Amino acid sequence: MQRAYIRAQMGEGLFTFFRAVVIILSLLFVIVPLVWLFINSIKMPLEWLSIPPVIIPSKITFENYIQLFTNPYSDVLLCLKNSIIITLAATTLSVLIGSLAAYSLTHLQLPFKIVPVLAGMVLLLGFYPKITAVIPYFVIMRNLGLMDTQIAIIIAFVGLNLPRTVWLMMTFYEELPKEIEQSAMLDGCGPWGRFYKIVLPLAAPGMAVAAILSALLCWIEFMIASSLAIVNAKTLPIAVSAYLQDKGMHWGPMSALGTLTVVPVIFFCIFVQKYLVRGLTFGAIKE
Amino acid sequence: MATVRMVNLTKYFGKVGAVKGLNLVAEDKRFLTLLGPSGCGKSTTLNIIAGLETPTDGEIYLDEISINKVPPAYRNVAMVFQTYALYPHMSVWDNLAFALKIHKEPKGVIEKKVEETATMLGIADLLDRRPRELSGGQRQRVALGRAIVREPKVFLLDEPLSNLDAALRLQMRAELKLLFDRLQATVIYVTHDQAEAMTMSDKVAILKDGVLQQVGSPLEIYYKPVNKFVAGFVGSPSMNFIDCTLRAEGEAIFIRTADFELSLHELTSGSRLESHFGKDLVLGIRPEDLHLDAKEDSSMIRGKAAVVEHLGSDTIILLDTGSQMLTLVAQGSATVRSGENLSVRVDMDTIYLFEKDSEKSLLTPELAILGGVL
Repeated sequence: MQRAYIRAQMGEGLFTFFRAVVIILSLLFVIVPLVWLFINSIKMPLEWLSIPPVIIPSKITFENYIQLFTNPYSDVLLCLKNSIIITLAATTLSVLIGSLAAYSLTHLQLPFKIVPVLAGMVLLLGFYPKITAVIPYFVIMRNLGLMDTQIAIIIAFVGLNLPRTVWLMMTFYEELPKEIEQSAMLDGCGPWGRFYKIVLPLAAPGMAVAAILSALLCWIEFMIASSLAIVNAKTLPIAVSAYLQDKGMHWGPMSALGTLTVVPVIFFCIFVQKYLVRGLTFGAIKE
Repeated sequence: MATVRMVNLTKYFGKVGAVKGLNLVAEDKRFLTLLGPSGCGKSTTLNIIAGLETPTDGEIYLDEISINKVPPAYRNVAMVFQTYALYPHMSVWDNLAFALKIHKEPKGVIEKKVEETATMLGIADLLDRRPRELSGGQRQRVALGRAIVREPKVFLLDEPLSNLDAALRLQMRAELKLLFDRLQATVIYVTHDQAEAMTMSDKVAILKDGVLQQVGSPLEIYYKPVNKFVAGFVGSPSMNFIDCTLRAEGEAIFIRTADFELSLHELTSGSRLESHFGKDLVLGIRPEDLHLDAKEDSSMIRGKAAVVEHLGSDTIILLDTGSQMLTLVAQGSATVRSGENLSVRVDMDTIYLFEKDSEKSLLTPELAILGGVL
């Protein structure tokens, strides 16, 4: 009896230990690059690529950060402004359009299973490799005369975000008990009234999740943005990449700007984590 | 208030017929119950009346005007859902006022109506709460209130009591009856609970597999079922069915089953049954028409008490007659022990006979014995 109890306790202890190891390992994967990024941004240039790698810098400098904002050739402020505008606009638009589209897809009754086919097509759009869209977007925006504008990138980002937003919102709408809407229907509500007064408030957690995911993607997207922006519409990730030049790698400023780009994301994620988890498990609207 | 008339109402979901050629009238200011097992088409019928489903065929008239093409919002019918379907993000007050606001009633009128309704239902002190802060019974009242406050032409209630616990259900049953009596409203009520149907309704319509079986007052349905299905569905515990044949011997007619034989000689309707002599029939006896006070000369069934269930007010006995179990309800606590051999008297004035194949009623209790309750 006693022995079994001790063995069980040891088992528990072993399990806890094992769990801790797994958690620490997975954290290392995530955190080490970020820490490295930050440390590099405060190192002296000689230690950037030295072997063996310098983990604790011999001298701490914030010169890289100061340079970002004081160097007359630095366009960080412009990129920051672009990133904020593009992220806000693209997120708002994709949530607005996506939630309306999803509502239609879950409520329309069309013959010949047109609706599931349409919904399937939207899903398919979320699956193709995004690089295939780079050239079409480039050609379209050039022909429209929108190259190097915020509008071009906003349009492209809305396109990137819509499939996921639509599918997320469809799942949310389908979770809503249909009697609630039927009840509103009998109470005299038209389709717009039902959407606006009943469905929208109830699906708000879903919209929040869709908005958060959209915003994250817009903030860090590089490939499409870099193909559409040349000078005026550059976003932060493009500015980071600009330090990879034919004249060499500017690891210091690059790490500094990288850190500045990532920090808001980290704080944002900590702040919205609760909503993300709740939203992704779709329990938020259950009575 | 209003009359709802369904003419040849039919609804198919793909190839599955939910409602088949329903002809039914919900009379003005009367309480009509659609009763049937799940999947019999009663909820579909209600949804069609509300306009939430479009019928495949047939017409619905509200006050003799066809409303087939009228959208739900303009039908002026109110529905109470089984799940209540309250608006979770609104307070009770807003839930009640929602329809009135949509119809742009003046603010003063809305306030007055909401207050009156809330007082009537005893939820006046809950008006600031959200649905999730309410108990099941309170939610039920809010759902009712939301219908009542609109003063609709017709109330549609879809199993409104089935989510409540047993004690509350009994209480709400009585309250609902009182409430709708007072409102003088046309009500169409859907339930699978025969006790609700019997106690609350002016008329009961019994459906099975989308087909209307019988419409009538609760007692008509109880005493004059048109077929075996209706007879078995109404009454609790349900009727005993025993395969039997009829046999004539001189003036007397005998009902013969595998385990016993009963004499029908006292019945005047004997001649009517002549054509069924020798054919396969089903004898129906309600559990409350089997009595423990058997005497030597009466119609008797012998058997062994297999299970004795004491409910206090009643005792339910399962009687093993050899090839079959019969249910018997005795008033009070009967002093019967399981395993005991019993002789049970059959009240021959209250037996039912059905054709075995078509399940149609051949014989039901004579109206005379009911003392004019029908």
